Amino acid sequence: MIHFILLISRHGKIRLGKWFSTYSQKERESILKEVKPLVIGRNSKLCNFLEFKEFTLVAKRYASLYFVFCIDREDNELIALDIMHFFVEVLDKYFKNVCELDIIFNFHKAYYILDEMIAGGYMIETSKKQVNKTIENQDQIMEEAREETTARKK
Amino acid sequence: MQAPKKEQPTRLRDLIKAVRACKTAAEERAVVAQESAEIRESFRDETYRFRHRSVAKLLFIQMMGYPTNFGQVECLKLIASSNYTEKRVGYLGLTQLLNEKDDVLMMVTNSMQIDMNSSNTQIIGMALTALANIATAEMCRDLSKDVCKLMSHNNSYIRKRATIAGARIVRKCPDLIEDFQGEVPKVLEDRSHVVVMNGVNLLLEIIKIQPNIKQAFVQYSGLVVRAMRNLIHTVHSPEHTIGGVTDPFLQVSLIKLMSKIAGAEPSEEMTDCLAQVATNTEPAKNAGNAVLYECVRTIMDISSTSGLRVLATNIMGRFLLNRDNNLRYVALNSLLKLVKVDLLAVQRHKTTIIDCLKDADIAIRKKALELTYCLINESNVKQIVKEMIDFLIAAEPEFKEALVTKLCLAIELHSPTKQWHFDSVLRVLTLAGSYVPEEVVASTAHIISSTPELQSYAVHKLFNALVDNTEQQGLVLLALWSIGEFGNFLVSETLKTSDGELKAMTPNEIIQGVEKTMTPIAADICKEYALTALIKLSVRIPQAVQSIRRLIEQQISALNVELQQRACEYIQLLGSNWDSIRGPLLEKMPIYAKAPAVDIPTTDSSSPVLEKPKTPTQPNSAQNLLDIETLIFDSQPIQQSQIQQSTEVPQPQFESLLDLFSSTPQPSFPAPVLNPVTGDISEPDKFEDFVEITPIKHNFIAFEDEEINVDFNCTKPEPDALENTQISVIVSNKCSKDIVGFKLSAAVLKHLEFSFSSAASTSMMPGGSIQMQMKMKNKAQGQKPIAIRMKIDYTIDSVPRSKLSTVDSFPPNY
Repeated sequence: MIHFILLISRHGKIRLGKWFSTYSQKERESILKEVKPLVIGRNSKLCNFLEFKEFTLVAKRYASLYFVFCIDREDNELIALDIMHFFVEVLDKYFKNVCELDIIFNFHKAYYILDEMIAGGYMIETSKKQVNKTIENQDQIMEEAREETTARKK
Repeated sequence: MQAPKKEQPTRLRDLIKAVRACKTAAEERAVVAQESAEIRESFRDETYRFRHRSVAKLLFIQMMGYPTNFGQVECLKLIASSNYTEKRVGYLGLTQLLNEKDDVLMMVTNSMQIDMNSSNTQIIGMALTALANIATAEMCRDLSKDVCKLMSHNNSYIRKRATIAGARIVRKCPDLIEDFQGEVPKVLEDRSHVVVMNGVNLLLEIIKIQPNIKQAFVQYSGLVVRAMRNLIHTVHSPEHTIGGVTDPFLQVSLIKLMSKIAGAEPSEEMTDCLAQVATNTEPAKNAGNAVLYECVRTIMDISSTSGLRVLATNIMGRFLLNRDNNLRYVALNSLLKLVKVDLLAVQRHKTTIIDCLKDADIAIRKKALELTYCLINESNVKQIVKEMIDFLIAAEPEFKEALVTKLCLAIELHSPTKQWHFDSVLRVLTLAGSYVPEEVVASTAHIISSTPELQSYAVHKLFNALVDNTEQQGLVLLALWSIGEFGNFLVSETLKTSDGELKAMTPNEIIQGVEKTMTPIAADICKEYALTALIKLSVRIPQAVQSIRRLIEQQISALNVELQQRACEYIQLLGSNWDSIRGPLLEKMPIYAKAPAVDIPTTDSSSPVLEKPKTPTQPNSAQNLLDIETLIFDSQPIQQSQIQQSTEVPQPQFESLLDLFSSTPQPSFPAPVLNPVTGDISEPDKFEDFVEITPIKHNFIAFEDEEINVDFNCTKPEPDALENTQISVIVSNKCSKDIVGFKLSAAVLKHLEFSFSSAASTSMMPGGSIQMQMKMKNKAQGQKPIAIRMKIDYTIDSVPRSKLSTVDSFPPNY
């Protein structure tokens, strides 16, 4: 299973952090401290897999963000790369050519998208079309709800 | 018109902009602190309308690393709201701001339950996702019935989430597996293959927690294979195709499941299916390779036909040659697993693997190193070690250590000749002596000492290497020891070898060489060895006594206590009143017991050779070890063991270790014995004016065969009553079956008295052990040694066994 997903900027700021295994705040901080130097500045010619404690880290850089997935040692690393890519493509479609700024200002939307495709540490939806459709649906409901409250206020 | 702050709190966007505009960390902290205060203030208002905005801001603040515990309860309030937006933010806040260990989490169980029974699919979905991500064990237990029900919901969106929520429930509460077991078959046959994938993951999770449940699911392997086949044959559905492969995620999950529920013999359709996937999947893109990789892993896990295995190895071979680093890493990983099962198949790729040692990526290098090590055997060891040594020259420090350890192990386990062994170790020492583990130095010393032909050659080579390389600690220690032991060869002989002449040295040159290792910045341990070597040289090369004395005297005022002590004692020893004893005292070490090479270097108690020469490691008593008249058992054919001895220096004669149980493989205590024993044994002892140091603690293996191992750990608990010995007997079960009814009886000579305390149990599991205590009183302590005759009885598989053995490897004055 996936234990945690991190999106880290080039300067070490966390843009997205989703934890599927239980870690206290202190443990999370110490993990972050260990993971950041391993991942930032890693030569792109090297392979994307790192051994980290009893897990495997799958790290790939997309533009100015490092995507880090932490999976079990016995999991299939290559498919984890595909899951990562899937996530990036969905983000790209939603934000129309996504860049780091989109993620910074719309992190809550990024979390919603992530929730649509990965839950409980596993991938739950494999169709990009489905994910996008659901997200658009949800956005629409939010819009309607907002209009409703503004109408009620008046 | 600007609304007052109380009516319109800062929007999330504005907060983010404000934080990004901060130039210093202090500024940022101030902005965040102010915002946190406002948010905390706003929470006190019960009718606050922008709660969700506050929680969203809290999320941002938490991501930056600031504490946000005060917002946890607010999430609960939001979740309880009926407004969609608020609920959504509430659930997001829940999963982000809280974790399983927070108590606040329990309070949300009720809201979650209500939401799971709502009519709105979105809301059910939210609740299920939250459960899957963060639920505690109690929450799982309370909500498991609802989740189970939802697994049969008519909307696939709900079904898939309920299934994965089930996976978490099962992980947290393994006793609930039965509830979910029943639902699994339905899910596996679901018409939406996304639900099938989640079902597969649920099943995999169940199997991980309770492996014996596999049997129940073997019947579904047909179903899984069919699902897989459908996938492969589907006319491409663009929705699910990635990199030319239809739904690679589902394929990977299905193949993984196949490996778990294959049963003892994989069915023919499974074998066919795997073969089909392996041959037909497009390896052009990563998705295809991921599927192929999973296929290979499954083939290796199940007991597949040789055809399948060949297919798998070929795929891995292709991966190895690929330029993509990820593929090579993954291939090396799987080959590492394969090599334990099928060595020959991997041998074919030997050259590629060795090339990977040069790779730029250190992870690949490390894997290649491990794999190379597994591939070494007698025939290719010379070539591979040569290549590994070449890499050692260019390797960087973190890699060097791993490389050196593996190299030394390989050399030790597979060396064809002792000379080659020594040469290779010497090369490694010169290149990376500081990384070489102690055990290697010790075992090389053993090789030199046990192979007389090699001694002269070794000491010459070591001396020459030492002169150039005084920083490599391993090399220095070994060289100093050899110079001490065999320094006479350095002076007397000039050797002709294949790469030129190894000249004899003058005593001065030798002393200078040793002096180089005693510089003030040298490690203390090197100086310790140097001192010992010097004192030994005083006997081997008497011409150099003056310079030796000078060098030792320098260390009398050393800061290290050990150095001081050694220096003072040695200077005393150089005094003329000890002339007669110095020779025999400092003669060559007898061949000692060598620790067998193990993969994980462990410190073994049997490497005392590199310590002071005064402590003999072999008992050299003069008395009858076993006075036959006083024994109560019958004698049997005696085992002889002979070891080559160097003839230059007279060696002490040792007793034979009487072994009356001839079929026991003896532990590797060499017995340098020349005399067959007929009855009474009495050989004159040449060292009677030797003051022997009686070791107080003595641990050794008393008896060992393929099934059991008996260890004796002896101590002297009363320092003023040395005739009493406390022996802790530990019997371990080495075989893979249970041992029951274990009984140990012992008999001793008349001058000994002993008592046994019974063991806690008489049965041992495989790998288990029994301990018992024995008290021994030696009334003739100092004159007669301790010897025990043991009778061991036990039963394996209702077959009783009985073994006899004599334990007499106690030091003589114990």
